Amino acid sequence: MAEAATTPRWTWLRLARVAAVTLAALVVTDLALAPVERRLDARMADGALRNAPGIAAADGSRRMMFDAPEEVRRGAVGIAGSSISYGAGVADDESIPAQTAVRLRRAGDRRAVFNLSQAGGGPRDVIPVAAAMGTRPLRMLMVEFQPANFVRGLPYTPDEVGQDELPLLLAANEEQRRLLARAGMLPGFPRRVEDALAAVATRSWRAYRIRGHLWVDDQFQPMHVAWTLRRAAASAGVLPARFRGQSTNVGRLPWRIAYRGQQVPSALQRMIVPTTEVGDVAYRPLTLLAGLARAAHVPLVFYESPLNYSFQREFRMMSEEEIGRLAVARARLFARMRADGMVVLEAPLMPDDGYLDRAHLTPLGCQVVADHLARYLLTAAP
Amino acid sequence: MNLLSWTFLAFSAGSVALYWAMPSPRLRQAALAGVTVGWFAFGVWWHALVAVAMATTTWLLGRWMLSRPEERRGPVLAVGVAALVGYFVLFRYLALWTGFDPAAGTGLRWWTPNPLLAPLGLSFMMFEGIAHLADLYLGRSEATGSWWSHVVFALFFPTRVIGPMRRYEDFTEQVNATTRLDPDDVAWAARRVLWGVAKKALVANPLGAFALFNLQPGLLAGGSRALVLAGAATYWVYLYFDLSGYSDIVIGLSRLFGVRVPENFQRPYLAVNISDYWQRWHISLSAWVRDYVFNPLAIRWRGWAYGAPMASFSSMVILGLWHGLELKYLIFGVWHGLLLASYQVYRQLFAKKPLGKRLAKSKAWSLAGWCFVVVNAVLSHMLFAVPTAEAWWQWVKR
Repeated sequence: MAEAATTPRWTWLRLARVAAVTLAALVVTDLALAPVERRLDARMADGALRNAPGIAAADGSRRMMFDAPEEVRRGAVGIAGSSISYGAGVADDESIPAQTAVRLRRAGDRRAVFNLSQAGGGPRDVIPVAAAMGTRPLRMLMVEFQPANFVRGLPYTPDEVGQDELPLLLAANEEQRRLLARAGMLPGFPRRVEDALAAVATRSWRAYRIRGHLWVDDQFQPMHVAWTLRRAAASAGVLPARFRGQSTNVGRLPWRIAYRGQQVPSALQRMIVPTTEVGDVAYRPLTLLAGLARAAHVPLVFYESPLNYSFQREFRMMSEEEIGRLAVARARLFARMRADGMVVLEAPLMPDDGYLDRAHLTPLGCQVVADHLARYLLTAAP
Repeated sequence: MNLLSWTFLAFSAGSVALYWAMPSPRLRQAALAGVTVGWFAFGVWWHALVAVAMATTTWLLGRWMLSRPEERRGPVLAVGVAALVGYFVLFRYLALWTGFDPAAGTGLRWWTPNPLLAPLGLSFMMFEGIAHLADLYLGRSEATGSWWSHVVFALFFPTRVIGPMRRYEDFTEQVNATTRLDPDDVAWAARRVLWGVAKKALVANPLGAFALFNLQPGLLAGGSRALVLAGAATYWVYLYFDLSGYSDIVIGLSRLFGVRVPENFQRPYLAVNISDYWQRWHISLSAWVRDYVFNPLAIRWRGWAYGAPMASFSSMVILGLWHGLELKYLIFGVWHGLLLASYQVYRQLFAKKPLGKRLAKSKAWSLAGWCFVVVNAVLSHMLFAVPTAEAWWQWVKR
């Protein structure tokens, strides 16, 4: 009797039953997610579907480069860049790509616009997207860049290919593969095995395919929650009033309103400009991007993101010497890019309330940049 | 290969299936070694050769030691420690000491391995090898086993990334003795792995994002002190869920191969004194340091009143430096060394007196001890998150 009361031993049959029930639960969950995926698909072509923040950096890129119908993709403009183009701090339909799509539609141009940007990204992170254009060409790729990030003497982080970037890199055409191999970015056999496994999971499991939008959705990030709570606590009088403002780009207030009173911007908002030279290591991704786009026969345009010098001066984030150095480095970068045959759009003039902080934009700021890009697409683009 | 990736899941499932499909222990071990070479190939394939080289070195030195009389084995142990530490220095530090700048990616000499690509689990392999040689020297082990058993021990992929540290004798005995996969073990392992994944993905990752954001150099230098402190506290919690989550995955996966690896964490947040804390936190590492540094030193200095506290201090300095030859890890080691040494002095001088005994039973005293452990753990583990000791010191001084 005493033995019967103890926990029953596991048998292979019992394990198989548990596995079957688990599998059935996964299938039901997956079927229930079908409407969510349909909604995401609907936002894909109007610039309002973004890469999932936090994880799966290239998740949205992959969906748009691989899942969009071919006729939509071939006519689409891809806009790729950092959190500025991604739309950190603004709503999905207020981002630069979404607003560009609105402007094109207003002018009677129905081409799709894909938001291929990612928070924390830069031109280097666009390389997998440019590689995927080898077999999944777009009509045009527009890549955001900020000259201050190309100054020599800034810390350099070695390139790493993320698992979500693999399918994009492996979609490169032959000529692109040669360029990627020369840059040391073509994954070897084990990474291809990894990609194959991820591809199986992506094809067969909806929850995995859209995990970025389920797990860490556009509005749910730990930092976002932390700052929202902090602001709420300040408004309720629990924290000092200075916490009512914002210290990141997650809010939606123009910077002069957000940073009033005792609110001081984070030290991370400081732009460091150690020299007037363009760094060769930092410049390399631009050359590779240009080569990859040429090899895919897709026009590539680099557009400069605006920088809030008033903010930098107001909070003494940059010295006048640094601002002077940046002006020289910027001119040198533009000259070098143009000499290398790249098409470069200078940043538009930005009104003061177009900025959330040192560089992130309010909805108005996104509209200004979108106007700038749409004008180029409607008048000058090939 | 990320322990939370589909690749790792599929690879592990395939490896377990292949392992148990083999008809004999010898073939199972060959399969295990083979899949680990494949596992290394997902990163840098020749790192498997480094593991084999370290295993071979340990085995050769073990044989050499056993061929000598007991009183003349000391020099062999010294050579063994130097050789295994040599591997570690070669792959992890030589380039840094000869001008390589990891931030800029420049200055790497052709004759130095890139430390950014150092073999996974190098420090674990070094400590496990030293432990085996020390066991032979101290007479805890009487045989060094075959070359093949050392290779299989070194090439056990589940513990290569994050430990826990194992002992050669325990591992080899289990690998040779286990003949079939028990469904109880499968159920236990599945629960443990799922628990580990949940700890890592649901708790550690969000906490880590918050903590590491608030501990960036710019914020240490000029951000809100309170937020940095919140980041430090969160980082300590994150470290537990991250490391113990990974340990759970490893312990569960190892069980599927019929191997029981040591536990690494035992509810460290309940520790009421610093000695208790180190018996609950990163147990396999602290046990190694206790067995192979503290005990020999304490025995050697047993005639000296402060021998045990000094042995504790020296042990913690080594434990700190195990994380890396950097000032911040030295500070961590010295810090905890001083805490442990002070605790031992307290025990020697005070704990056995009537008041000490009364206090030991008091809940308020335990609560005070718990607070003391938390404050010290939060502030010292913060050193792991900051880029340099100087950045941390700047924040402390503000």
